[in-house]
Amino acid sequence: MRNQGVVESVLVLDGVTKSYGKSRGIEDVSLEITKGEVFGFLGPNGAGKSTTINVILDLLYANEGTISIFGMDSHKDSVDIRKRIGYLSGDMATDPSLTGKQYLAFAASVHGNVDTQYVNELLKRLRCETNKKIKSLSRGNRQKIGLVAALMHDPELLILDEPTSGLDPLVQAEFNKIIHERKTAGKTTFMSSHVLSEVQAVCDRVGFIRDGRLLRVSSLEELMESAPRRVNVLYGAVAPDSQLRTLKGVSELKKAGNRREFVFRGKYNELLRVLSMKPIRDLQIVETPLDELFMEYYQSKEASDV
Amino acid sequence: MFKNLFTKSLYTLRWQLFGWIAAIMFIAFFTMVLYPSFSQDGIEQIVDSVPESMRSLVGDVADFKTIPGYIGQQIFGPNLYIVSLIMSILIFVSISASEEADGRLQSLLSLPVSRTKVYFQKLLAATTVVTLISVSVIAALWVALLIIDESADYGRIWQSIFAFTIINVVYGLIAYVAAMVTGSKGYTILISSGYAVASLFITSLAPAVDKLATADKFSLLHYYNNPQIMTEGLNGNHLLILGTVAVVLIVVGWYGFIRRDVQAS
Repeated sequence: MRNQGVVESVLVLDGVTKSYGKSRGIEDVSLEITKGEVFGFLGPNGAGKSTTINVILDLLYANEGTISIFGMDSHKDSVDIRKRIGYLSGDMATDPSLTGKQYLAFAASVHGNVDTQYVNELLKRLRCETNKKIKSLSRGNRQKIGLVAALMHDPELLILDEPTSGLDPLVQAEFNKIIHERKTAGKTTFMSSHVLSEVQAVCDRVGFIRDGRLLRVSSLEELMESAPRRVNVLYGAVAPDSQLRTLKGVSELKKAGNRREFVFRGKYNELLRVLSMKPIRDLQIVETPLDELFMEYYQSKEASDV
Repeated sequence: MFKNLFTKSLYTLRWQLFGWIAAIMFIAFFTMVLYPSFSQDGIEQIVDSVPESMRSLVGDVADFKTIPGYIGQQIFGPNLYIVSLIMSILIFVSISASEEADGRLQSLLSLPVSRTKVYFQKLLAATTVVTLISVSVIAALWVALLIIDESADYGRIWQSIFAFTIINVVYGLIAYVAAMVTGSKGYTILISSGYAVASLFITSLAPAVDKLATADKFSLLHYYNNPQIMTEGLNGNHLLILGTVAVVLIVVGWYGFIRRDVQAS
C-alpha cells in the first residue's frame, strides 16, 4: 500500500482481469485510490471503464486479481461495502412507473438511516423534479434523481460512470461543487468521464485506460506540468529566430510577421532567457487543455502500436 | 411506501396483476355462464363429429353435462391454462430478465442488498401475483354459478384452484430460473415458452398416441388435473412431483444467480 500509515487506501485493485469468453474486458488493472481523493478514469468508448466499475461493484466477477474496498474483499463483503458506496451509471435505470419521490424512498429504505434534511437539500441544489414518473423525465432529470440516490447516505466512496450526461451547465456546476465539498470532508470519488473539462475541474488524479489496460496514472498537476505549452509571442521588431530554433523543447515553430508561435516542453528559465533577447510586445503561454492532451496521448499510443 | 424489494416489486407488477385478473376472470365467468348451452344434447353431435383418435383432446362428452365435469374440463382445462401459463411466464420474465435487460437489476444490485435477497424477494412477489390471479377464478365461478342458478362443491373447486395455482407458478418458475441463470431475455423466452408449448403438445396428444407416453412423464402438465380434481380430488403424488420440481428449480436458479455476472449497461 502506498504511504502505509499516512494515507488511508479506500479502493485497491491488484492485477484485476475480466474477460468475456474470447472477448476482452480489462487486463491486469492495478490501481490505488486514497481517502479524500477525486479520481478521474478516462478512456475512449469500449476501453474498459464501465467493466472496471462493474467489477468494483461486484456485478461482474473478476477472473484474476483482487479488489479491496475499505480494507474489505469486494466480493465476500459486497453488501457491507455497498452500504458505504454511492453509485450512478451513465444512464440511470429504474422502474419507469415510479415517481422520483417513490424511487428515492425505496433507495432510502434499502440504505437505512438516511438524513431526510440532507436529501431535501440535495433535491433543491440539483433542482430535481420528484413528483413526475421517471418515464416522463428527460435523461438529465433522471440523472439528477440518480445523483441524489447515490449521494443520499453521504457515502464514503462515490462511484460515478459518466455521471453528468444530460445535465445542464448550472446543475453541472452544482455537481462540481458537491464533489469539492465531499473532498473537503474527506470523502472519496471515483468517476469515469468523457467530459474532460469536468475531470480537470474536480479531479486530483487521472487514470488513462485503453483496450482494457491501464496506460498511465498521474496527478492532474503532474500531467499538466509534463504537458506541452503553446507559446505565442509578438516582437516589437526582430525575433531571436536562430536561438528559438535551437532551444531545447521547441517544436512546431510558426512565423507570421513579428509573431512567433510554437509548442514548448522544457525548462522555463531557458525559454524566458531566449524570449527576452529581443523586445517583446505581447506574450501568451497557454496550458494545453486536457482534451488535447487526451487526444495526443491516445494518438501517440496508437501510432506507437502500429 | 416501499419497505423492501418485495413491496416495490408488487407495486411494479400492479398493472399486470389487475389486467390479468380481469382477463382470467372474464374467461372463467363466460365459460361458466355458457354451461347451460353445453349441457344440452347438441354437444354430443359436435363431439361425435370429432375423429376417434382426437377424442381425448375434447374429453368425455359426459363431462360436459355435469357441473363438476364441466368445471374440471372447461374451467381448469386447456381453455384457461393455456392463457394462464402465458400470463405466469410473462410475469416472471418481466420481473427478472426484462429488468436485467434494461439495467434496472444493475441499479438495484448497486444498493446494499444481497443477491440472495433480490432473488427470493422478487420470486415471492411474482409468486404472490400469480397466486392472486389464479385464485381470482373462484370469484368468477361464484358469480357465474349464481347467475345460472347452479351449485358446485366448493371444496373441490378450491382443490382445483390450488393445483391451478401450482401449475402456473411452476411454469413461471421455469422462466424465472432460466432468467436468473442465463441473464438473457432471449434464452429465457425460448426455454420457458418452448417447454410450455412442447409439454402442452405432448400432454394433449399422449392419450391418443402411445409413443408419447414416456415423453409425457417429463411434461409437468401431465401432473396437473389428471385425473380431474373436480371428480377425483387432488392427487397427492402429482402434487409432490410438482412441489419437488419447484424446489429444485428454485435452488438451481438461486445457485446460478449468485455465481454469475450481471449484465451491465
